[in-house]
Amino acid sequence: MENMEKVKKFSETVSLIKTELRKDVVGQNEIVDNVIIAIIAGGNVLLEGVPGVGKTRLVRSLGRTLSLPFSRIQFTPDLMPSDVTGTNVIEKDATGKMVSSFRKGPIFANLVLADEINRATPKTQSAMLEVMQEHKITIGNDRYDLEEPFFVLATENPIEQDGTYPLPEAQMDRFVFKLIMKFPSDEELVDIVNMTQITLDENAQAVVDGPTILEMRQLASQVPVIEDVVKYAVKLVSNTHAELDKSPDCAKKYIKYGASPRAAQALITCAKVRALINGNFNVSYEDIEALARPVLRHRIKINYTAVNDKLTVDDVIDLLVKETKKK
Amino acid sequence: MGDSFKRFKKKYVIDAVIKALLTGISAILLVVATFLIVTALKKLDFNIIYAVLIGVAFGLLLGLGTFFILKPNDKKLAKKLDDTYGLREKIQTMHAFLGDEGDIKLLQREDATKILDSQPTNMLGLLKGCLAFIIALVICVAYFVTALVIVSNQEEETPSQDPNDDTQQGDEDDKDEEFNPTDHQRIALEALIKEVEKSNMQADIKADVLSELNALLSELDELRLQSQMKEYVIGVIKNVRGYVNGASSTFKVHMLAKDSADDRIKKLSLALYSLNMDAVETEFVTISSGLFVLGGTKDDIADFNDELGAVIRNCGLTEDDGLYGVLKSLHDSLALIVERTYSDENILSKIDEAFNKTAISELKKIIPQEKINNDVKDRVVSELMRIFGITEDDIKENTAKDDDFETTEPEDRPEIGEDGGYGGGGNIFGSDDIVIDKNKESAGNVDNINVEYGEVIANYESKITEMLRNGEISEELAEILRKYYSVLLTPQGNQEN
Repeated sequence: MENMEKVKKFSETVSLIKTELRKDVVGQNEIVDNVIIAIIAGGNVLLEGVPGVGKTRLVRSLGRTLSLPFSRIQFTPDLMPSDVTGTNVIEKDATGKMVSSFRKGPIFANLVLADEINRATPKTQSAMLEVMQEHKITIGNDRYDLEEPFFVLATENPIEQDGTYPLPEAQMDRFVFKLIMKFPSDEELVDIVNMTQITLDENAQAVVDGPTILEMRQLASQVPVIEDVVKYAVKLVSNTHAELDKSPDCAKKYIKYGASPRAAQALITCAKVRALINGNFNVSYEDIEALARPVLRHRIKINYTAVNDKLTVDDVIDLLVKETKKK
Repeated sequence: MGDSFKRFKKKYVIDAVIKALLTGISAILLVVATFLIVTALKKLDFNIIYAVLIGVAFGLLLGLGTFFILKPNDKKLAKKLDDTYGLREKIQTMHAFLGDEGDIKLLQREDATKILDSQPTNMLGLLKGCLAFIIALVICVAYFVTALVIVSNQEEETPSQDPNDDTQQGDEDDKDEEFNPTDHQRIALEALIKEVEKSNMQADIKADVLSELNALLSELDELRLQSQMKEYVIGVIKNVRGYVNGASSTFKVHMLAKDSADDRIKKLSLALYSLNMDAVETEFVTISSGLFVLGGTKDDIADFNDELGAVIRNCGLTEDDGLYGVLKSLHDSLALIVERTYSDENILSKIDEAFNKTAISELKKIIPQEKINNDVKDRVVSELMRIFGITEDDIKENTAKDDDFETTEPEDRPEIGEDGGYGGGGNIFGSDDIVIDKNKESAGNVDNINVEYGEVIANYESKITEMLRNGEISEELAEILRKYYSVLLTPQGNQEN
């Protein structure tokens, strides 16, 4: 059975990635798990956390582990779209004639770290839209395909909001997950300090390549999902829309606007990967519930009532999960 | 689907069958018990067979409904297994993608089957699932038993068919129970009617009484409730009493004279009311012998006659009443004695003639007929009370609202019997061997106020003998007194006294 081997390889690969990442990242187990899920599912991830919690280190370490072309873009207010995508330049060819040629930007890689993405202007941020969704770039009249697998792992800082440009909803929707990196515990911090006394360099070794990632993605897509679970995921997303009559009371009370259909797609796609990683061959309600927070938290906007009631987005998502009935 | 799934399916089908059975039986018990209670409490005439049939139909419907609701199809069973054993939708997924090809789906099926195989299918779990149904059945059984108890209690509380069972007759309470006339009641009533027909009761009264009894007989089947029956029978009793008492001259006299200020009138009315000729004669002798003393005035005769006149006028007697003629004649004779001038001996003779010859001879025609009427009335009343289990308290309670005195019996009516009062056994005075001597009364010692009857009468007799010996009593009166005491002091009289 060919796929049996693939399933076995799938589990081993995930295990290897985790092992390598552990060399550079202390704690943050849930974040690591969800980043791996997103990578296999082919989604982009937005990492949010205060400075120094290891956002960039995690992505850099992941780049090493995946053995894929990796590029880092440090977003700043003066960063231009062409600085990201590349630009046409006029140069002499071998015959000495002046010709126009395209010089690829850092986006032409398999794994792109968009560091502090909210510091770039909306114009530059929007240059990422087509890339993140379609994995293509249009420059002038030419369109360029990006090599698969392609991921954007962006980071942003929830503090220091001066001189930043909040990401537009359209762009936020392109991220499959928004992961919040919490401040490490004391024990984890001790380990971090000890680790960095030896070297600041990442130690992770390449254990997986692009084709393997694509194979894993293809395998995960075969995981069966029963209709009731799909309906549950859809219901969970539609319940985020306060304007709908059938939405639960908590949505009507606390949500300003709800998640897009991409959220339901993301829930099912990522749930398949999660199930397979956990050794299951089908998607369960539990998989959907576990992914509700990272999938929905950047796709819904809570209102002032929620803020007034001292509720976070995650709290509202928990309420939604509680009020969405399973069949 | 694997064997495990089939094993679980079989288990849940058994579970559904057991639950359906429990539900059906509970429903049957519930419906039958409810019918029993409702029919018992509302006293409805409802055949139990219909209740059972309705119960079975309802139970079948509910049981089948329960079975089809609980009987699991594959999809429902898969969900149930996932929920019961926390299998993370593995069985549902296996069921949903049963026919699909693909290695992952095959792996999923193998995984689900493997997990399902490891789950126990013990019957204990099945019993736990049925616990609520078992509890419901137990409650229904308890409800059914309660209904049976209520019904059996209701049956016990219906009027007794045994006329000698006084306890059941007396235990009737205020509950408005169903009345079903028994054959015994019907036969007893018919026998009573024949008895009355054969009696020597006064013809017009007999006709009225028979009319009442026949009406009761024909109405028996129409009376549905105990209260209706009681009311009707008590009405018959009151009417019978009314017919007899209304035609009884002695009754009318007694009803007025019993409260007379003159003790002699009171005693005379009581003697008449007793319908005992011996008692009447004795009372006449007593009154006549005490009315006039030799050498005395006629005031006592006049006082007695005035009081007698008042009774005749006011008691409601008409000229048709036999007693009216007797008393009127006595009254006129005494008035004549008072008006005219006779020697003392003549006065005594006239008194004796008026009382003991004229009046007594007339009364001997009247009293026996009234006695027959009264006896038949008492017989009818007591029989009706016995047959239908009616007590004197029921009648009293019913007649409390009734102002017609003729339909009630005075409580001081003397009993007619061998041993007491003015009974037919020839007794002259009270039945007790001792009498009350007020002179001997002392506080706190009741025994001291009782003296031997013989001692008192001997005392009286000696005083009278002395008066006779001294010539204080006329020869005519002396004869009466001798006769009186000779009767009183005979051995038979003493023995009976």
